Amino acid sequence: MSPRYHMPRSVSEAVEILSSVPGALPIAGGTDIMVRMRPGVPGGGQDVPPALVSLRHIPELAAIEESDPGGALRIGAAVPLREVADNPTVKATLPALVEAIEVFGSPQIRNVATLGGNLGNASPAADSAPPLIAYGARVEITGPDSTRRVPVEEFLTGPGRTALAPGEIVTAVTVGPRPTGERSTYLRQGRVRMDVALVGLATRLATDGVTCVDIRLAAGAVGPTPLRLTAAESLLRGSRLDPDTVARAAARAEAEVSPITDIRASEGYRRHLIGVFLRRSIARLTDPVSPQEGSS
Amino acid sequence: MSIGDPMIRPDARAKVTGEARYPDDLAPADALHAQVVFSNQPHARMVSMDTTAAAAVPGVVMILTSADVPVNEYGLTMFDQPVFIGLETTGRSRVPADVSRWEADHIALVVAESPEAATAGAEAIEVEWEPLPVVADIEAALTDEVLVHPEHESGSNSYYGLRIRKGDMAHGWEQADVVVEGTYHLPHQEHAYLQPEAGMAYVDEQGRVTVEVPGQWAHEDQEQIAHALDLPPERVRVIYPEIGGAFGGREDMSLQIVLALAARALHERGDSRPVTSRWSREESIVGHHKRHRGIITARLGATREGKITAVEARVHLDAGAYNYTSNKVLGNCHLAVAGAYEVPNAHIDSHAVYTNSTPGGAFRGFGGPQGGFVAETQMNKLAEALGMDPVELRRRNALREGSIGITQTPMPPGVTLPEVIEACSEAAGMDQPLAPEAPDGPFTPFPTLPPEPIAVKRGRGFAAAFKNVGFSYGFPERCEAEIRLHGDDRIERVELFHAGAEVGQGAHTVDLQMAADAVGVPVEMVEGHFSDTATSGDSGSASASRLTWMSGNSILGAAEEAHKAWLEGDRPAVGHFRFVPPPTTTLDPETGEGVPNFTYGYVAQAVEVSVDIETGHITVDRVVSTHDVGRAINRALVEGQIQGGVVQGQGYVLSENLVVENGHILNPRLSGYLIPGIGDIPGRVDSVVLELADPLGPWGARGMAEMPMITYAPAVIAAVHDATGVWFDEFPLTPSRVLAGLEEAAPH
Ligand SMILES: Cc1cc2nc3c(=O)[nH]c(=O)nc-3n(C[C@H](O)[C@H](O)[C@H](O)COP(=O)(O)OP(=O)(O)OC[C@H]3O[C@@H](n4cnc5c(N)ncnc54)[C@H](O)[C@@H]3O)c2cc1C
Repeated sequence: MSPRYHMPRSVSEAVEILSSVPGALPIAGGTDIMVRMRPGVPGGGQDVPPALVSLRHIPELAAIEESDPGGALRIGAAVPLREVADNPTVKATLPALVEAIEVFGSPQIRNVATLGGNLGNASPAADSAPPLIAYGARVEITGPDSTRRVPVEEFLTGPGRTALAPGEIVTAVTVGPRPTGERSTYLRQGRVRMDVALVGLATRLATDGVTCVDIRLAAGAVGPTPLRLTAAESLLRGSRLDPDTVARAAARAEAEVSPITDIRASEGYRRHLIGVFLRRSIARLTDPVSPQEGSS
Repeated sequence: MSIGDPMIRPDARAKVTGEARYPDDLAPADALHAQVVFSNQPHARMVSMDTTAAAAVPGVVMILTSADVPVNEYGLTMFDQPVFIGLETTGRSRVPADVSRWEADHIALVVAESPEAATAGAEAIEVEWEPLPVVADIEAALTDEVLVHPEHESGSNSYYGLRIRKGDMAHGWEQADVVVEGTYHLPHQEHAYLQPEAGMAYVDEQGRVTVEVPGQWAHEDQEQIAHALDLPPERVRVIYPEIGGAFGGREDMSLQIVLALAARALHERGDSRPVTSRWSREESIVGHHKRHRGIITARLGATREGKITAVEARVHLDAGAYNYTSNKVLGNCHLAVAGAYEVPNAHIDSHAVYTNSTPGGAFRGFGGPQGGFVAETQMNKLAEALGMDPVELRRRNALREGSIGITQTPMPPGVTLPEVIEACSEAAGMDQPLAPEAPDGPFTPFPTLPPEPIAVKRGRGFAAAFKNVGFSYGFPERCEAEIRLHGDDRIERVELFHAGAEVGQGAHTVDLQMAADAVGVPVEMVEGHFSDTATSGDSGSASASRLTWMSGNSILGAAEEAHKAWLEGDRPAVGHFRFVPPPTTTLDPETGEGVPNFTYGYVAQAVEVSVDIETGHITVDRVVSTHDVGRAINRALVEGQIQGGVVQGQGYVLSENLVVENGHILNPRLSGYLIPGIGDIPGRVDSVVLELADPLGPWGARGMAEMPMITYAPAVIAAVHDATGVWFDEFPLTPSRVLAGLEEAAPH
């Protein structure tokens, strides 16, 4: 049976419907939810909620705002990814997020898919999560009674699981002001161009030209949730970025992830790829002629 | 002259705008909906089935089971498959119906007022099964511990075989200075046509059970429906609407028989509503056959000068639970595995093997890609072992006019492989060193990562092959056409009646072009009536690269007949013609001697790749695909076939990885079974089209549509070897397989 479809005009209205109809789900771009709802082999695969609450007609979910000049950036949960990646501030300050979006699905998917949906779906391979974690982004959650903010890595609690309580929705993703002199990148690989990431790695790096002043590494598809590579980070932080050190950091990264073997790739392949990505990311971010520019 | 004109297809506009009516667009508002129920049991004996609860589901109109099938068997070349698995039957079938041998065996058809009610009814059917041991793959099958078809006369899972014994093998090995060998594992491939199975059936105003369904051979569908329904063929009518791709995947039955059964049963109850059904993508992938997976072991010997002295091969193809066209596919593979070369001494044993896995069947190339992969990879390994240029090695051995083929009879006249090899080599610059950078092209294959130039290795590979055009091995081959000329003094209007299937390839466009030329009128004057068994004679199938070749000959004959009638004063002047090509034969069971085919097409390809040796990711930078098409009736459509075949080959060799475990397909979705997308296709495909007439071809035309698939995989494998030094005897070359192969080969 088809679910009831609600089109609330405000967050409070959306939250109210979600709290009052058990099993109701928010829907933004629908690129995950519609796939889950389609009937496949009879008796299998179909997962239809009693009601869908569209988040596409709520102005405060549809905007990208800077709270004050140079301040935090607030990306509405229902802004299509295409718009996120085309936003001048996002482009200037969050290049790894833009790179993630540019390899995300297809043009059609990017036109409708949202950050709220990507995080709400909580796939270990969600492409927006590693860059957001690397940037220290927070998820703004609004429920019947209150609004709270949690770091992305705490929001994602397991495959398909989030910190959302019943009735709560993601209203925005917020990112604090970016320090100058930092560069960042996102590398990912699928088996074909349009595929779930086998591995994704976001790297945010600040150097004084020779030494790593600060680094954040966040990896996707190598554990039950996207994760920080803290062992590799701590080895690199304060070190010279010579090939030897980078190779040791890559080995640490390979050791600290916990990928699985599935029909897409083996555990060993994913581990190996994390090391390759780490080396390539650092090469890219320390290359003086790299076309990619971070914030300046 | 319409021949040679790359005219725009008359169906293009409707297909682009969405006006074209595909099988899922046909149902009127009052149509009933039918749901096929799969057994979901790769191997199990039915203990009981109860449809009482299902029949009581609101909206369910009727449930058909084995008891409702007059003759509960079907099959394109052998009747080894029940229409429905079930306990009650009429007893008029050669194959026991109480055992499910395949997860997609049908157990019932639920007809209901809505798709939802049909699905609910399907879920309410209660079945009890006694599990039987699953014969999961070729290795398990060959032990014969469990038989998939104990009723089969062979008494073995290895139920069909072919041999070749040519020359003197001991002498051949003695003369060989170099011997290469390998065991190759060939993967399944799914057709993945855009449009999953769908159709509609009703009883027409003349009382014929009528099925509108996509297929590849309307008259064969009619025949199989008539057999199962126990009706004379003329009481059954098959009409093809627009067809969203086929590639061999629609050669066998899907919804044809069950929809016909439903239409007749409804009619008998006085219900005249049409009944429609469609498969989801998952049902489509689980529910129709695949390109055969196989295991082939081969040895190839040659002199220092590169002359082949001996070929030995042992072929096993996984037929799955039912034969479909496995015996015929095996026949093609059997020829292809020796390569398109002069081979003085050969010893080849080929077998089709029943398992409880997804059936193997027709798929573009029809055994050619499997056999051709092995033949060409062996040749490329031989070139390496001899230190000889792979093009030169082929030059020294290629079949030529007058050559004796592997079945010990002369090749049909018009052998142009040497010319095709030369043209390909020249266009690809095979005598020049490979450029360090990928050439520019209309597409940029997506590198997935910003690649590290130092980790990217380029390489180039070459392969050549032949493929029969038309039905083989004595299978009756014919094609009918009818032309009607209207007018008074002058011909004002031409009607063409033809059953050949337009599966997306442009068959009807070239039919119109050929009819216009044959009659001598502009193409706009020709009106086509296609693919309806009630109005056209049997044209044979859209398969075996045969349709243009056979249709053209039948149209030429019909035009000649019509002209005669015109001169005799008939108005309209009607010409009907049944074209029959030279006969073919089966092979001698001991020696393999025979005339398997009446003509062939020839292909060579050169492929350039880039391999990221740290991630295993491969991009194809350039393909030079060279074909002798005899005469390009429509050059744009020829290039369409080349580009499409290359892309399908790209999926076969690089990404398409069907996972079948214990008889179950684990990735029946396009998110898990990865066909190439626009970001994955080669950066550049150069089509080199030769027009060296086939002596028997209409206007000299040859078949060509399967050929790009046959050489692509071995050419890519050779290019990857050129780039990395590693031979891959198993594919698809997924990044993780490539990396594992590179690591295994690396010195430790
Ligand atoms: C062809 C294809 C390609 C894809 N490629 C990629 C890819 O490359 N990388 C990738 O990461 N993903 C990919 N995806 C998955 C999907 O597109 C993304 O996860 C996308 O971001 C989901 O966003 P959406 O707005 O469409 O979510 P929806 O489908 O609307 O929702 C997804 C889930 O999140 C919940 N949800 C949505 N919005 C909110 C909210 N504001 N608050 C709380 N919960 C919410 C929904 O209830 C649902 O459970 C692909 C999907 C398809 C079909």
